[in-house]
This record gives sequence, structure tokens and C-alpha cells, in this order.
Amino acid sequence: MTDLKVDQQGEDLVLDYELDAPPEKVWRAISIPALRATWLPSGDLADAAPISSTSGEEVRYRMRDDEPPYLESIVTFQVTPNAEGGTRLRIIHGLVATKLMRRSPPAANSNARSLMRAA
Amino acid sequence: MNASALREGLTISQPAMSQHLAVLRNARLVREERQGRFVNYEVDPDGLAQIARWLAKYRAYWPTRVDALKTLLRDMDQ
Repeated sequence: MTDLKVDQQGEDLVLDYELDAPPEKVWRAISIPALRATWLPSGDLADAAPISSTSGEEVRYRMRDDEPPYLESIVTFQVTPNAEGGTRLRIIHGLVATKLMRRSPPAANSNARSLMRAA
Repeated sequence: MNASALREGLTISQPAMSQHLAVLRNARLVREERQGRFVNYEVDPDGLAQIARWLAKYRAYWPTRVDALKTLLRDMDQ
């Protein structure tokens, strides 16, 4: 079990890990809330529900830092099979505000789900 | 530097420059200082330091979390 590399693309952290477990098993561990909470605490997430999820391939969560100024970020987990029957897990983690600099804001009338907080 | 000076040599409209500056200001990468009718923009060192701290924290955070994930994977049934 080797950890390949730690890389940084722009302001995003990009980390690749090689896991012995098969992709289906890793997918369950990162996407089923009860399993995910055992290694990635819900308290570290801004919302326990994913922003988006492509079954077996990719899931994205919004995170909130636990100390002021409580910076919000988005983490993307990508699951791909590796040559040894295990899994390559890629973690891409970036701040929300710095993402705005590279991407134009979504159209106000797009169908993407917007995040709202109950009053 | 004011918004006109920042725009020198760039083919970008004044409203577009204002939008870009607003994004950078919200991200706390630049800050503005009003002097009478003029607004000057400068790099916000606090904002940059915040981002550097954030990166350092999560660079150390993920290896620990992935270790916990590996433990879970060992404990899980196939």
C-alpha cells in the first residue's frame, strides 16, 4: 500500500492514494454516510449530503473549517481501479472562494441545486 | 493601485475589471482603500496568510483521514 504523491494544482490540494481494497468497497466507504462518518467526521463537513455524486466514480462534499474564519471548501473523491485489483483514490480539495477566480459563476437560472441554510 | 492603473495594457473593460476585483476582494486576496473619490487596491496579506494556513492544515489532515479509511476498509466485510 503506497501513497503515490502529494501534488498541488493551483490552489487545490491534489492527493493520490493506492488502496488494496477493490473500487466497489472504497466507493461504499466514501459514499455511505454511516461508513463515511467513521473516517471523515460529519463535523468537518458543511453538509453531510454530497454536492454531487456519480455512482462508483466520484463524490463531492462541501466542507467547513472548524476554526475562524470557517473557510468553506469543496472536496472531490475520485475512485478508479488500479492494475493490482485495488483502487486509486484521488482527493481534490480546494477553497470555494479561490475557485471563483478561475470559473465564471453559474447562471442564476441554472438547474444546479443551490445550497441554502434554514433560517 | 487604482482600477484604471490596474487595467493599463489589458484588453479588459472597466466593468469587467470591477467584477474581477470584487471576486478577489471577496476571496480576501486584495483589499481596497478609499482616498476621496479614488479607490486603491492592494494585496491583502492577511487573506493570503489565511489561505496558506488552510493549505498547510489540510495537507496534514488528509493523510490522517486516509489512514482511518484504510482501517475501515480492513474492518469492512467484502
